[in-house]
Amino acid sequence: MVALFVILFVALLLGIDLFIQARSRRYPIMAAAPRTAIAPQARESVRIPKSVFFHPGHTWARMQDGEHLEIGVDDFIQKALGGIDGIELPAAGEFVRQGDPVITLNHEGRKVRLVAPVSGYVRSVNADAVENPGLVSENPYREGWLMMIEPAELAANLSILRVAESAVSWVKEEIKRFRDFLGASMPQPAAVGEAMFEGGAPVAGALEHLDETHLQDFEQQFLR
Amino acid sequence: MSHAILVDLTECVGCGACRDACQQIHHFPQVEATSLDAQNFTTLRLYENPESGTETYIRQMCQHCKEPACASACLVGALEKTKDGAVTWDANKCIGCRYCMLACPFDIPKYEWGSNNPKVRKCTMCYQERHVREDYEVDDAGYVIDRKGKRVTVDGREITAEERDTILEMTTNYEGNRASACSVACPMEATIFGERSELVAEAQRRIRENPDSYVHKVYGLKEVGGTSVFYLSNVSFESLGFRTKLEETPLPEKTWRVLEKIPDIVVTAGVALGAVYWITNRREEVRRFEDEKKNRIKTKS
Amino acid sequence: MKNALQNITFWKVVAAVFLLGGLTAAIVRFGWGLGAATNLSDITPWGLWIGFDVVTGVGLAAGGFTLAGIVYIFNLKRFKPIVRPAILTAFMGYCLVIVGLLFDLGRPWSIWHALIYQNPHSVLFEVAMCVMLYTTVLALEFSPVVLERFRMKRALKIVKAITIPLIVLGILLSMLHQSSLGSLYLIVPQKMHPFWYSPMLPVFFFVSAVAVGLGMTILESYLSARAFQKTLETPLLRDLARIMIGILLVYFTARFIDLLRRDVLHLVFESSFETAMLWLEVALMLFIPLLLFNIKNWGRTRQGLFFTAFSMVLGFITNRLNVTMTSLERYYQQNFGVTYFPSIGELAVTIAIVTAGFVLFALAVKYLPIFPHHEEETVLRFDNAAERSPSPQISGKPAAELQRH
Repeated sequence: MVALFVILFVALLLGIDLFIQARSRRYPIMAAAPRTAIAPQARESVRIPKSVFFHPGHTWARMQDGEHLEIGVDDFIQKALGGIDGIELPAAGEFVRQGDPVITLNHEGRKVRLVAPVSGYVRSVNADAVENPGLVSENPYREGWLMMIEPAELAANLSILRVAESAVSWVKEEIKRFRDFLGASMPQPAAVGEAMFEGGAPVAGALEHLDETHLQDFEQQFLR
Repeated sequence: MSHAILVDLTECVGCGACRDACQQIHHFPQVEATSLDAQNFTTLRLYENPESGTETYIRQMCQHCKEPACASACLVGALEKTKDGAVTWDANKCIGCRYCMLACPFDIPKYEWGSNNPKVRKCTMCYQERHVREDYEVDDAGYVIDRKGKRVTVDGREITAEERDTILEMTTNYEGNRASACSVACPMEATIFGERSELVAEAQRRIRENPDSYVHKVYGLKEVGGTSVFYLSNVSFESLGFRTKLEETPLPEKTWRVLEKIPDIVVTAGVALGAVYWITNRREEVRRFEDEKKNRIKTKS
Repeated sequence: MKNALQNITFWKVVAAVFLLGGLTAAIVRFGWGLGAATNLSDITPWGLWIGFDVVTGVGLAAGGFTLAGIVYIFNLKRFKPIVRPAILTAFMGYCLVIVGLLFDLGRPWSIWHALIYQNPHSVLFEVAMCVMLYTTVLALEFSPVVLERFRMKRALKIVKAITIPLIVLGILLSMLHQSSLGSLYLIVPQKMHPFWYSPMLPVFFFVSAVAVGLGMTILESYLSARAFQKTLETPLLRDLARIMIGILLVYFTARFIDLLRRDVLHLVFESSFETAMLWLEVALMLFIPLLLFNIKNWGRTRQGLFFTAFSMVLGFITNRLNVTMTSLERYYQQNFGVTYFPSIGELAVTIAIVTAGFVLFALAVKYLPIFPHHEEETVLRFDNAAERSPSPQISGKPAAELQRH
């Protein structure tokens, strides 16, 4: 009897909790303030975490447990693409060199290739992200990590990586540069539509509207 | 010398003298209790045989097992099987975990639930009382002292000369031997206190000489490895509510079989953990080395 | 002021009520004794406090040694971020177990007697010693968090130097007392229902403790994600769930063989209360987790993993309460006509202790460096590179949610 009672009691508490959660979701006013406050902006924002090292080719690396580096693609490229429906990565055990294009992102039949931010051995790849690329869109710096690297020449690699304030100002520049690039390479502004493309300002998924040649230009200018 | 008690239910007339004596010597209120509790170490319960209509009084008390589960369970060793045969409880050690109550196959130890300094209570076979000696002196304050000059305590209480004499009277039988108060009080031959092996022989003799008046079993002889309280009956023990499904293995063996393996487990598991630690770390080193070698070949080509 | 009011959520009010209830019951317990506060009796000497607060509680705190072993002994470094929260909850768990024990002991002030009056034949003595030592080991394992906070470099260096021996010692102690909690019941073969009395009890207790340690870690990670946006990566949690389910499969295979060998397997289709409770245990601990974990897509979300782990933990609690209570109910009923059910006071104390666990966990996650740091970040507008106020969340969940609507 006691066991049954305890289980039912815990189940009841869980039920109440689920009910409260469901209610707060149905009536946004009940939800925790920050969640609704930032949501409308997220799609049009680029996030730059303080502890992440950025490679000029829009990939990042972060120290993990003192001997491995987690690497992935940054929020900028992820937003520019507008979505990711396929990821190709080297296999575990392979050696990758900083600056070599080793990560391929697919989106609606288009491919972009990104470089490794550091040199080293691939210790593991995030199979979950490969299977479910939505993880990268959700958070490219956490669940959306791509590979675990055991660095081979970290000190030398670090010289071209940017972090914190330097990363922020670099991403700012990149956004501006991207705007100029779009303005110059957009085939027919009218075809895209004004609402989507106010004065050449980048919007999420801007790359979808580029043709193959310009996409290659983008790769050369932004991802190397 | 290991003592024991033989209870012959066929001799019992249900007068209640044993119960009354028990309550008196332990300073408990005089009530006709039918179930054990912190103030009733022995009880009498009437059983009416539905077939023959005969009446049997069932006397219940601690079995004083040879290898008591309670004593093995007690983490501080407050319960102890004395050489005397009695299983006793030490108030100074007990922390009140009540594992003894759970462990006892006869559900004997009881607790002072209403107290804020509760004691575990059960029959002690009048262990302390039987060891109060006639030649103990009285000190200036009027309390009884032993031969080393230390005040004698019975059940946590210092005793006066008057109490000493009461105890002596209640625990000395007609033969002049010290015995439990219940056995001294018994007017019949229903409760006998004595040497364990002699009582076993006596019980077996009674069954042998009057085979028709007894079920052919001495209860307590083999249960949980043997006890120091034996019962004879003319009604099956099962119908009287005795625990009859007990194994002959002493219960402490069940836990000791596990506990005795602990040193082995610690050593084996310790070595195994160390080995795993060494292997996993070594494997990582080897892998690192192999990868580097592979890389050197790669860069050369 | 307005902010303060907003912070008072439903659960905070509930927690306060629970804690107050526990306090009231504590006053009755220590003022008027066990008899006044509990439904314990001469027939049923052990109740909810031992069955849940101690036997179940120690099991639920098994995450500490499980994860320490996975990371430091089996060298699976990717789980390292989980070790700290697991050790913390283990430490808090053991402290709460000791609090629960102090409520249950008739003479709590003499608890230290276990140190001087040793009875090596007592399982409870072994449990007491191991729990005492292991709580100390956990405190040491957890101390780097506190030492880091207060920048005590020398002490930190000493503790770090003895990490591996400490971990090994912790695992050994855990093996001993987790299994011994099962051995406690070996001494009452004639009282327990054959579903739960088995000479293998110590082994079963240990194996299920390892599994529930993993389950609890997943739960804790989910809770901290909900409340503080501090969490672990979902793939890591999924790996934990996978290991957990593997252990559970081994565990239930062993239990099945055990029932078969003791010739009581036919009882599992008998209609009785015990049979229902056994099936409840198996369903919650094995079937439901197995099912949830394998639901495509959902099973690999944080929420899916939460429900998988939650069910397993519930099943574990059922198992421990079945061993400590359900299995004895028939014996008490048949021999004494007594059925134990905890009093309001017992329930209040147990609920308060569990609540205290939640509160302490929340405080620790908030104020100690336990989960990976909440990362500071800059957020730029994608259209004009202007800075936005940083998002308070590390997970990009809001963005995903918005896209769905």
